[in-house]
Amino acid sequence: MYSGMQIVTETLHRIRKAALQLYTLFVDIVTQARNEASHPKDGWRSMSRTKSGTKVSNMLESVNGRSKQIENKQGFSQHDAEFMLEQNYVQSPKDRLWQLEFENIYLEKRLRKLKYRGTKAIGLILTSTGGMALIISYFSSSLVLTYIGLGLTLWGAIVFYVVPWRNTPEEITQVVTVGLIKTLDVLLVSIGYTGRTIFHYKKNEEGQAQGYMFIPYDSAYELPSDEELAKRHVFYDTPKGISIIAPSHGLVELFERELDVNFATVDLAYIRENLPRLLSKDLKYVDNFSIENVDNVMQVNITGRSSAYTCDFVNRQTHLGSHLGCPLCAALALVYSKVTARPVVIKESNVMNNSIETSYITLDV
Amino acid sequence: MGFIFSLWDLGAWLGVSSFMMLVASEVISPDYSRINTLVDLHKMRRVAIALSVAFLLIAALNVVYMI
Repeated sequence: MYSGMQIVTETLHRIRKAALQLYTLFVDIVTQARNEASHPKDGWRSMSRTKSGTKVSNMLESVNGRSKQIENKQGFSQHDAEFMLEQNYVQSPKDRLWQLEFENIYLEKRLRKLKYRGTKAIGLILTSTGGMALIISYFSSSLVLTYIGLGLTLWGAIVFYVVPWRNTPEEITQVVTVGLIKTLDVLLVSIGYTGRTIFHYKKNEEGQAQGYMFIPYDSAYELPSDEELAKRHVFYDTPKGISIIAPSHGLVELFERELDVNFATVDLAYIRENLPRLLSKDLKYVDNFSIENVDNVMQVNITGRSSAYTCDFVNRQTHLGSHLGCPLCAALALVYSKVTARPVVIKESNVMNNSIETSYITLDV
Repeated sequence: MGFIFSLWDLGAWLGVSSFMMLVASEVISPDYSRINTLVDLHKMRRVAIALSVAFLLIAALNVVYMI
């Protein structure tokens, strides 16, 4: 009986002790929450701990240093000292401006992350859930789970494969392209090389891998000999001119990659048939595209606001623009040169109402 | 324990999925700006065609077994 009473007393004592501990814990939590609610800079602290708020954390570090000094001198706790200093810090208009600026940077970064987070996470979730469903379906012999697993895995894989490509805004590509052409134009004009640009591929190169532009000093349609070109010089004396890698060769490579073909191995009929579809439907570079070919002249009609704008700008704003060509016209000149294995010159390029009409001629040099 | 669907079930599922994807790749817009997502319809069509080929192979296999 006595031992039973003792057990009950001990149990009650333990319960009371546990209740007291719980009460103390609860009071601590409430006090901490109140402090956090009344402390306007705690948002700052959480921000300073993030990767994006490096600048903010630097600012707070200086505050921390000063707060420690006050803590030592006046006997305040570090938290209170920080609070006092941050209050003073924020009160100054300049500092408040800094604070807002940093906050703005941080929020902009967060917004960008949220906006362009991609589809990796959703793809991963779908695939892993599908995989789990398939595993469970195997062990539980469930047909429903199998179908669910197959569906989720497939769509997860598709989200990985199909979705994550991004577009660059039209304005950016236009500005970058036009800027590069303008620089090239100014450079060539300033050193006096103002002849008609000849687009060509070196004959001795295997598979005609790299497209070149030869800009003669005068109006002669001549190219250096194959032996001279093989030396890979930039400046040539006979005929006088500059040979540089064509900036639009990247586009030609893209066309080849998309069509899975080497243009050196196909004829113009292939180009007439496949290039319009590639440019208008697959790459969506232009709205409409057609090629006509008579003898050694190729006439190209392109419809598309973006490319017409760039072409028009290059024609109007640059000295060599009409025969140096916009990126698309120059790329088509390279394609024509590669297919025919002959040097090509842009004969004429006109832009009207969002459409470009460019004609090319092959040279017998 | 084990998967209780047959090869023909898998083929049917592939057929339906590929059909849906093929229709989607032709019909849907590649750009859904509300969530800033772009779909590469070219790739999607490629996947749909690959699934269709898998379905046709399974169907052919079934026909061979039946004969």
